[in-house]
Order: sequence, then structure tokens, then C-alpha cells
Amino acid sequence: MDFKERIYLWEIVKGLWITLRHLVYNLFHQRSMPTLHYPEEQRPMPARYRGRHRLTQRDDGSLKCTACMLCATACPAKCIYIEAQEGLPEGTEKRPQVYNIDMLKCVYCSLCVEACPCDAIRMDTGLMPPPADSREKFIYRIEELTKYPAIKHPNPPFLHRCGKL
Amino acid sequence: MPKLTVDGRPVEVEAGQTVMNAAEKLGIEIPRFCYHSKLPVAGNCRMCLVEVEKMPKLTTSCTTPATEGMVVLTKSPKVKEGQKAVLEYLLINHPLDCPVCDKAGECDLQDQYFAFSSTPSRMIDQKVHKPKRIELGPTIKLDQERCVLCTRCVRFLEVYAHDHSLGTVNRGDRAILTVFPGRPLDNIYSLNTVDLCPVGALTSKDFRFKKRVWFLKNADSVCTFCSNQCSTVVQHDEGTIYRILPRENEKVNGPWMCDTGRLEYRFINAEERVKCPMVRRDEGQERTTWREAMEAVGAAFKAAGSRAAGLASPRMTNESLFAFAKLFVETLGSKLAGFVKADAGLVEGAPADDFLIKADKNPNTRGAEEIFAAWGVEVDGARSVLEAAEGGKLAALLVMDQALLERVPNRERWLKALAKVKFVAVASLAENELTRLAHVVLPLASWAEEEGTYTRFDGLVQRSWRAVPPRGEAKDALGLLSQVAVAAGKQALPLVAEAVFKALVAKVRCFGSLTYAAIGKQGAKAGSGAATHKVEIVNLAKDKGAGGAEARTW
Repeated sequence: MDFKERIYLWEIVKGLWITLRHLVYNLFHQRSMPTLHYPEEQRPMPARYRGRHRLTQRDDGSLKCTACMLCATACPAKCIYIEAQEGLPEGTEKRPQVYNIDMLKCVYCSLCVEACPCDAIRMDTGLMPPPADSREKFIYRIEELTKYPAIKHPNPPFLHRCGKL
Repeated sequence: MPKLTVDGRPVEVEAGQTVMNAAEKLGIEIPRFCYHSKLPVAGNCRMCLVEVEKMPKLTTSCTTPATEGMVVLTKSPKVKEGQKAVLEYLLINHPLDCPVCDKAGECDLQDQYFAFSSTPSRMIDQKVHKPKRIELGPTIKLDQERCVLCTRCVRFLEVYAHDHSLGTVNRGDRAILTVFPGRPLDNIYSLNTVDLCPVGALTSKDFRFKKRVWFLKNADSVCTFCSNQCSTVVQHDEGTIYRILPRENEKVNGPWMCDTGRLEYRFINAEERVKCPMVRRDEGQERTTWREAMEAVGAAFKAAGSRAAGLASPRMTNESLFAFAKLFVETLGSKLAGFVKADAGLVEGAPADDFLIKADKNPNTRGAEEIFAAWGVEVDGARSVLEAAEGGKLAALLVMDQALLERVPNRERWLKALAKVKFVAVASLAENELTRLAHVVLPLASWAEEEGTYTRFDGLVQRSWRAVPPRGEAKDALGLLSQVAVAAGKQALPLVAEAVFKALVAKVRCFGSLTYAAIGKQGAKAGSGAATHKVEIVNLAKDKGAGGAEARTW
């Protein structure tokens, strides 16, 4: 290394020049910037995007889930945690007391949806998990999982596949 | 001795044995629901059908006696067709609610359907519906829909528990398993029926919906709830124990176990466990670190010298008891050590019977006596400790027995004596009266959290494997004792159970030449060459009367 390189000063100036160049360029070309102001701005999702999970409910508002834990068994990321309890006398024998999905662990593979024998979990909200400032807030409980309705797809991929559309 | 051939292979069985026994002798598996090797034969599930030459129809192998010259086929097309038909018949009214059934994953009906049928149901009519979720008693729930009426549970209760409360009533598809009205099934062996049930009809209320069985991991263990020491399997997942099942061991418990022992795990999972060391300061006990707690213990034991004493527990493993005796006799040079035997104390838990439950509720009384005798500790060591404490001669005391105050006969006298000791360290699982009067409380691992051996009352040495890691900062007894030795400025004690056992065998002659490999999963006795230590088998039931009164002054 020669003297110029050894004092680093020239290299720092070079680096700052690159930063400055980008800053000035981007100030005048804001339209072509690839970044988005997520979550205020969101990229349009492809038609087959399914989104985060939803626990389906019966007409009376009770969960369809029977806490059989087949979703937790199928889950490759081990992100589903269920605690079962005795069902109500008029309902199914078993129902979930706790149903948590750790969205930070989830890989959106939808194997849970496939495994469910009761159609109790679906990935059809079309939503992304919003950002949060603690890990705790990424653990979605029954309330979060039943909060949002299903979206209507203009071109439902499943129905397409089985020839109903 | 009839000779017959099963699937073309000749076999000779004793007279009176069945075709099923002959096939088992050859290692040929015949599917079954109602047959159980330890129960009387019922022959009502029809799953074990085999073809016997010169017999017009298929016959049930569990009821057919093996006779001379029989030619048996267990896998012929006709048999396979029969098995398929039986399964289809059993499944006609079976609700198939496997996703919510606790038995799913370990269900005989499920397994055998996949192995012998795997054909979809042809049933088009409505299934017969029967009541679900019936409370049979304090431990068991019954689902009458799932029941296949094999009557294993009925036979078990009649033969082993002498309880005739379960029975089947009605006929055809209306037949149900039930108890007499107003008479719940509250037998102490009732949970064995849950193990026996080939389907999910009988479910344990304790385990119900807690965990799907395929998540559970097994650790072979030994029940420490009475001196019968049933062999067990501890089933756990992610550090939590979910249930305890009996492990088949002809020398001890067969395939059975009592309900008390099965539910014993709950205190291990309990939130109230002592999770970190505690030191007594001016205002009650405060949580502290191991380092600080051991400094206090070390200072006390260094100052005490030979005026230190220790109280072990007959619930500890042989290895821990050996390390305990070694710590006091050899390392600290104090002869004041002992343990409180159950025969001096009160009856705790279920009363003894002629099946599995023994009066002495401590698993390792015999092992403790043998080991302490080998170290030259007097039999009545605990009494000497008490007397020394009363005389104000004790400077430091280590108590490894958390149930000490429940077990000693004269509680008031002990409380007064313990108050006179300058320094009391208690290693315990839970907080209780004893830990509250301690100067230092050390968190101790439970039996499921440490490895070791136990000596049964008849001399059988059984091994128990570690199932889950200790809760919180708890240490197993070997680690804890070694820390005490180090804190007192002495050499550390070995920490590996197998190494301690080797030293134990070399020192205690009652153990003969046993090794861990020789003990294995089924346990082993020391053999003829070993010295025998005469142990009085405790009979609390006898002692309960007036005779025991004067023995309980200490």
C-alpha cells in the first residue's frame, strides 16, 4: 500500500462520492426507484397469492378446528402451536384452547391447509403479516387468525384446477 | 407335546397351548384385538382367524388348541379374505373420528386396517350412534361408539383388580360397554384398561387431548412411587413429561402398573418447583446464584469439619446414595449420616395390596441400607443425627430428603432439633416447610431428570434413564454432591452415573459384579456370589396399630 491508500482518506472520499451520486440521481428520478415504502405502499400480488392463514368458522361463529394437530404435524417449520381442550357439549369433542402461528417461522408452504381434515385452516386472506417491533407480536393467536375475511379471487386457482371454472 | 406345522414350518408346543401360541413361538404374527397374553381368552373379535387343514371353516387361533399333526396356514388367500371381512365388520359402526381420537397413532384398529385391509368402506347406511364422552370414573372417559367390544378391560379388571364394575350389555349393534349405574370405575388399576383398549374407547382423563402420541419420545425408567419399582416408559416431548406407561418386565410388574405411579410425573412438570438456589437473609429467603449458594455451603461445611451431618433419602438412586455416603464418610470425615426409613413413619399413598402396590413407598430402601452398611454408617443414622442436633453438636447439615418432615414420626421433635443446627442446607424439588427453615435451598433434579439404578426390595437392581433435562437451574444429586465437596475444599466426586456404579460395585459387596450392561432394561440380581444384606421388609399395614406407637418417639 502506498501512502494515499494507507491514510484511507482518499478511499473514504471515493466512497462518499458514490453515495452522493446515487442520492442526487435518485432525487431527480424518484419514479424509477425499486424500493417501496412498505407497509404504506404495497406491490400488487399475483392472482394466485394466497396470503396468511385464516381459521374458518361455523355459522355460529365457533371454530371449525378440532385441534387434531395434523397441521402442526405437517408443518415443516414447526410454527404451529396448539393446546387442545374438551369441546362444548353440543359441539365437537375436542377444540383448540390455544392456536398460535409464529409468522416469523412460517414458510407459507400451505401444507397445514392440505393436512387439515376439517377445512379449518385456509390461506386465503391475501394479506401479508404487517411489520411489528417485537417477536411476540408475530405470534398470531386465534383472534388474529379469525379477524380478516377471505378474499374473492378473480380467477380462483383451485377451482380452475379441478375444472369447476 | 403336540407337533404341528404353521405356514409350512414345524413347531412343537406344550399340551394345552393354542395355535396362536405356536405361531408366536415361530415368530409369526397373527393380528388380534381381544387376545392378550396375560388375560383369559375370549375369542370374540375374530381377527386372529387362521386356516386349519381339514377344518371346514376358518377358525380363531387364540381359542383353538394346538393338536398333533395340525397344518395351519396364517397367510393363505382365504385367511386374508377373512381378516378383511372382520375388519370391514368392525369398522361398520366405528365412528372414524381418528383426528380427534387420542388413540390415533397407536391404535390397533388403525394399524391393522392399514396392514390387512386398506379397502374403502362400502357402508352406505347411517352408522349406529352411541353416547360419547361418558365419565366412567375419576380417571377414565368412555366413547361407546369407538368400542369394538373386545372385553379386554372387563377381563383385566375381573382377573387382576377383582373389580366387576365394567361389563357389556345388550346385543348386536346395540351392545355397549358400561358400568353399573351410580357405581363409577374408581379402581386404583383402572388406567391399565386404557393401555389394553385396542381402540380409543377408553381414554385417560389425565392424558386426554394433552398431546398427539406421535410427538412423544420414550425414555425407559423405573417407577419410584413404591418399593415395587415397576418398569416404566416415560413419554415426553420438549422437556415436558406427558404420561408414564408400564414397560413389560416379567420379573417385576408384567405389563401392568397402578394409577398412582402413572400420575406421579405431575410434580416434575409443576411450576412450583424450586428452580434456582435460595439463601436465607434477614428477611426470608432470597433467590441467588449457584456460586453464591455454594460459597455459603462451603463456608459452613469447612467450619463444621467433622461436626457436619447429612440426611439422605431412600428415594435417591444407588449412585447418589453411594456418592452421599462417600462425601460424608470419606471426604468430610463425618460418620453422622443416615436416612429416614418408611417403617418409622406414617403410611402415605395407597395401601398395599397383593398385586403391585407395596407398603413401603420408597423405591430404594434396600439399596440405601446396603450402601450405607458398606460405608460403615449405622442403621439408625438418622436418629443419631437427630440426637446430635438436639444436643447442639451439629454445625452443618445437608438434607437431601425433601419429604423428611412428612416421613419422620415425631415431627415436633425434629423441627425443634433442626432449629438448633447452625446451618441447614436442603436439596429439594419443591418448596415446603423443610425448605423454609433451611439456610440454603438447592434445586434438585427429579428421578426422571437423572440417570441411575434402584434396588428393589427383592434385590433386583433396575436401571432408569434420564428422560428430560432438569428444570430451571436444578442439578442432579451427583452434581450437587460433587459441588458440596468442592465447596468444602475437597476433591470433586465423579459425575457420571456409570463410573459411580463401577466404584459402588467395587465397594458394596451386596452388588456382586453387576455392570450397567448386565442390568440392561429388565434389571438383574447380584447373583449367588454376592454378599446379602438382610433387609427387613417393611409392613406398614401391620405397624399401623398400637405396636407402632412407641417406635414413633423419634
